[in-house]
Amino acid sequence: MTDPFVVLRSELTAAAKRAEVTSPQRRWDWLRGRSRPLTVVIAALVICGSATAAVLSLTASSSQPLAGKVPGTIATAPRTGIYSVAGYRYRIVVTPSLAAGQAGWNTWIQYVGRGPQSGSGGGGGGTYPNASNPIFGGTGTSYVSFGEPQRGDTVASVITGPQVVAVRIGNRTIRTFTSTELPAGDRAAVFFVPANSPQPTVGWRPGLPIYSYIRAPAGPHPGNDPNRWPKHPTVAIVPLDASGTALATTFSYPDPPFEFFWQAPKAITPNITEPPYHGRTHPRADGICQLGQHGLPGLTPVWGDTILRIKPAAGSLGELFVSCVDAEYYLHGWPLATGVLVDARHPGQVLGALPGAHAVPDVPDVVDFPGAQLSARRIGKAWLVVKGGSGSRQRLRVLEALRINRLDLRR
Amino acid sequence: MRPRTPSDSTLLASGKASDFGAFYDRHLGGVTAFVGRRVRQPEVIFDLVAETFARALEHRAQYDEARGPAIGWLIGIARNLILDAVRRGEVEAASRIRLGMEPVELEDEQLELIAERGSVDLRAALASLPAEQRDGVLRRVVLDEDYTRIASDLRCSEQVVRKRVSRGLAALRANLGGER
Repeated sequence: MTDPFVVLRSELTAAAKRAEVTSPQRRWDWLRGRSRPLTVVIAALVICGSATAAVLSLTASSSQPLAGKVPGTIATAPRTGIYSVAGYRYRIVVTPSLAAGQAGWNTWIQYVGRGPQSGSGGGGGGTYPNASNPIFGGTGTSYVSFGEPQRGDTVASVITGPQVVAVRIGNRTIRTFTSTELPAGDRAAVFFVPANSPQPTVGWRPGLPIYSYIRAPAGPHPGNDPNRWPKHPTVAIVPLDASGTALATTFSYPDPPFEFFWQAPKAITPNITEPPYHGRTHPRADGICQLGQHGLPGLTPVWGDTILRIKPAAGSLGELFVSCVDAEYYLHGWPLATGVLVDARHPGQVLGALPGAHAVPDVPDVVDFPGAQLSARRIGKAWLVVKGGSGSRQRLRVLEALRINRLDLRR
Repeated sequence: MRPRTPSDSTLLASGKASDFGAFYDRHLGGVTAFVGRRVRQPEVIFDLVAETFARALEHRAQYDEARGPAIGWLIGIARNLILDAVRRGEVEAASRIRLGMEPVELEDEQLELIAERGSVDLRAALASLPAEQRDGVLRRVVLDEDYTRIASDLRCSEQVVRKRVSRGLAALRANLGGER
């Protein structure tokens, strides 16, 4: 018998080895493409300086919108093993992180159409822009392994800080735009990626090539030697400022917060049956924020996190929220995530609008964003947010029942 | 003279695959024991441990020794993954996918082995430490308290607290089957 942890060690060191032999660019699974011969001459067109600034205004093209339709038609009889979102309607949604203490934005893409790809896909999430992190999110296709056949275009997007006015992907330059569906000040660029294109990557900085490659295993028996795995070409997504200067990325994730997890004894834990949980069963009483409920039988808290302090997110650009508590509730079998958002840079300051949310008629201080399955009530200098559930009506009922029992931002 | 053991920070910063392997060997026991206390199914334990180390590999440049010991960093990653798995109903695999890691097929005997590794009693291991080391590890690693604050409470220097925590973690690693 082979020790599985030895196998895991081998996989990890092989992955680390690949990082040694390939360009240290970060690859996002939502942007993918298959190999094709590359023109070396194009690789020499490294973004630089004022020449780019002049070219930028002349050649940059408009972004696709946050919601639209993928070119082509949905295959009526899709062939097994071929990935395609051609003909689907898409919508890119940016929502605040509700995890206690974790300032950042999550990005999702939804495909709507009568076909197997209909549904939501994940994207980069949980971070925010700063001077060294101009691209902090994005969405695209769900991950498909290298070499899998693909038909038609896929949708890709980058969510950027206010300093990014365009992004360059190979020989394409695409202007970014602002929207009420994005965090205030932040921008986005949405573009179609043709089948068989090089794999776009983010994380470019001076010294790294625009065109490179990544080695990835292919086939049922790829072997253990990464140097023998096939090369898959990549192309860097380069963020540009107003003068056309390339913005370097020094990606830095925020430090993970220390939150105190609790879980109700009868918590629903799909896929993890009867967990041997012996930890805290109620929220800590000394958390800076505390939720309560009143008048909605059946609304059951199942787990959540408490934090004892908020570390302001210094250096962030654009609007940024952070939740001071989070809790998951169940109501009639539907899970609902909740959080209390405050300003992440200056906790206690009045908050701006929630991206994409609109006022609910006849319900003061309450907003709803059906596309993001999110509703919220403004309470003082915070947003009480409910996400998920069966729909807007259920979320509004839960919002009505929830209370912020404590909001102490002095710590 | 006995060669000096490289620090976690050195292993992570070198960028060498062999050094990450050494880092894995050093902390596998602690992470598996931590996950095993919260999750019963061995295949889920394995996936959580795998994703924890994959994430650590992806983000190794972000590890800052000054902010605390690496085992605390790893446990923080594992905790978030467990919470995420409970919410999503499945274990996140994004880092493993991004790294191009192959799924590991598990047979019955291997599942038994994982269950055994995951059943190591972290509490018992902690209890075996001298009181001053146990308190130091708990306050620094589990409660995330600053060295300054712990030192102030105990009326000793930060260096003393750091030494106690360091020794405690080394002993824990040894107790849990990791590198001495």
